[in-house]
Amino acid sequence: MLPGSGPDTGSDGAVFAGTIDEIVAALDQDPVLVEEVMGNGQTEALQAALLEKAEASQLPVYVVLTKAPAGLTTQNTAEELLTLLHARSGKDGVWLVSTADVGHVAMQVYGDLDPAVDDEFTLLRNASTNAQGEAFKAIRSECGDCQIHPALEIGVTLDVLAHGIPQEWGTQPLTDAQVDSYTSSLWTAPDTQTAHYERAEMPTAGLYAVVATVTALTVAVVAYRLVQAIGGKRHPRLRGSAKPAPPTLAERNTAVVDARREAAAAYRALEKALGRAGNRVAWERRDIATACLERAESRIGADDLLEVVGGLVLARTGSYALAHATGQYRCCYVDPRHGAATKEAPLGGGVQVPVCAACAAALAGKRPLAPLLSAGRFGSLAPYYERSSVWSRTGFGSLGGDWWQEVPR
Amino acid sequence: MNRVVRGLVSVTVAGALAAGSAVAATQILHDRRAEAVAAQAAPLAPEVRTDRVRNALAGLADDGVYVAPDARDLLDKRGERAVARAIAEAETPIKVIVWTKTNKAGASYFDQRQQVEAGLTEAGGRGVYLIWQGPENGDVDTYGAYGFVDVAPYEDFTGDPARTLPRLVAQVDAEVRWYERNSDDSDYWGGTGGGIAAGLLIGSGVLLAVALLYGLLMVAVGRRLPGRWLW
Ligand SMILES: [Zn+2]
Repeated sequence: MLPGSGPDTGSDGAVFAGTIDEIVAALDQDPVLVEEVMGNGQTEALQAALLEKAEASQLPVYVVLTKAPAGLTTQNTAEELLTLLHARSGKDGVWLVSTADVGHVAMQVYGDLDPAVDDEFTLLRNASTNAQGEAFKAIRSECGDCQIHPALEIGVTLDVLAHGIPQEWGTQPLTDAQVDSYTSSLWTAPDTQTAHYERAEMPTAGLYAVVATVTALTVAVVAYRLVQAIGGKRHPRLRGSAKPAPPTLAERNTAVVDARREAAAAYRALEKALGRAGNRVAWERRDIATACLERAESRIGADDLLEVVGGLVLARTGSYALAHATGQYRCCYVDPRHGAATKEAPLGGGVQVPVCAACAAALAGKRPLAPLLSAGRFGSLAPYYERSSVWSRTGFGSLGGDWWQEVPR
Repeated sequence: MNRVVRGLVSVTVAGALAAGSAVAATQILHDRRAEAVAAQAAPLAPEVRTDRVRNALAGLADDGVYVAPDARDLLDKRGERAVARAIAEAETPIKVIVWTKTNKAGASYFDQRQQVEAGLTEAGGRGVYLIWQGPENGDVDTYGAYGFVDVAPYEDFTGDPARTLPRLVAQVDAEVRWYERNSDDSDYWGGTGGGIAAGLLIGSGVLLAVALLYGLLMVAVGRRLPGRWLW
């Protein structure tokens, strides 16, 4: 067949309208032309569906879904093809054209199709966009990653045209059933693309063996040890890290009550001694006792164990100052509740601190200490001297100096 | 309970749990792979093939060359006859499709090509197919068996396809290599024996990691698990 003597045909004789003239000639027969290259895998069904919708339209429509003919000059071949087709045919109506390389739909309204409205194009586009939005929602609810074919936009626009040019802005005339019909495979395509290198295959005998062996080995060893644990001594401590168990909340509350009682007694004793002191005690010593008394007062009723112990030590420091002409009260650095220090012993980094006899013996025998604990922000307990406070700085006076002056009133 | 009985009970329970979990693990592996294989095959099944692919497969049946109606501007009827002659002279079964590249014909381009390959494989035998979509654009691959063709579309698809395609078709006999896939070669782990050996090695690594984790936990909490390995 000579070039230009008729439409192209494929190997099997199928006809293809490859030029503007051939497409216009095809539209003379049928206002809808769907070529296989844009047929969504079911060209005949798509052609029939669109033709049925076109025939229901109240206005003349022309629909073309094809490959852009050779010789078009712009990037937007759909728009360009539409303009050329209209110019060649001279037919007024709604034109809808999409090409395989562009993938979107070009629309134009030619002629005064509806005397009642001025802007047919904008009203039609608006109603069609609204209806498409409904259709997309229906599709997404059924198939998250389905691709939408350009034919859907054309089908929806034709459905709108079955009611004529919309007279109102912001509405769409499709029924729910019409919207739902666009979820079918005629208008969508499943997105199934799989990468070349991800070719899935059934596992080999070797892979089965690997998985079975790893699972069996791991489960066997872990399960054996766990079964051996049943009935064993409950959570034995690790050797060498024999820390005494931290006190429970109840134990700590009891400790606060006990310390409070002791502190209150020491406070009353200081108060009495100070009242009796008179001039036979040097005024410097009385000043110390008064300073300690003032600072102890607010602490005795406190909820925090460290504060209560602080009150206790302050009261004892004041009493000591009145009873002795020189020197000052030194408590056990590890826990002031142990009473007065009698020895010095190296703690932690080798610093010599005053300690009671029991703590000195424990340190000498490398036995664990039971220090006064302080609660952290998240309830964790640690020796008070490992945390930062006025008590850790002064060691409750065991480190010497006019330490009470550092304690707030 | 004496020590020996206690140990035997632990061994029995551990062994039963190990066997059960190994069976379950292989079952899960089997099911998940089977699902993936089925999912992969779904878009290639004959009933979901696009009309474009069905037409191409039908068109290839007689002379091995098919030109889609929309691709006449790529290859005219004379060119098509030249390709058919080259195919007839080649020893290897060769199929040539000329069509316009599109993803608006019912499937992604990759899936269309896979559908073609599945359709050719279904018809039986093994061979080579070429899909020409334009200059430096298309595919060359084998169907029906694993193989390799030393023709690269992005290099060799040049010039007028009416000349280029017959030339490439004539080269296929020399450029195709077929791989016999026997089951041991394709098994990365080298069969059941190799799999067990690798499994013991990997399993030891896993146990080491578990032991390390347990150790860290033990130090953090300051306690160890009750009981011991041997009572
Ligand atoms: Zn002590």
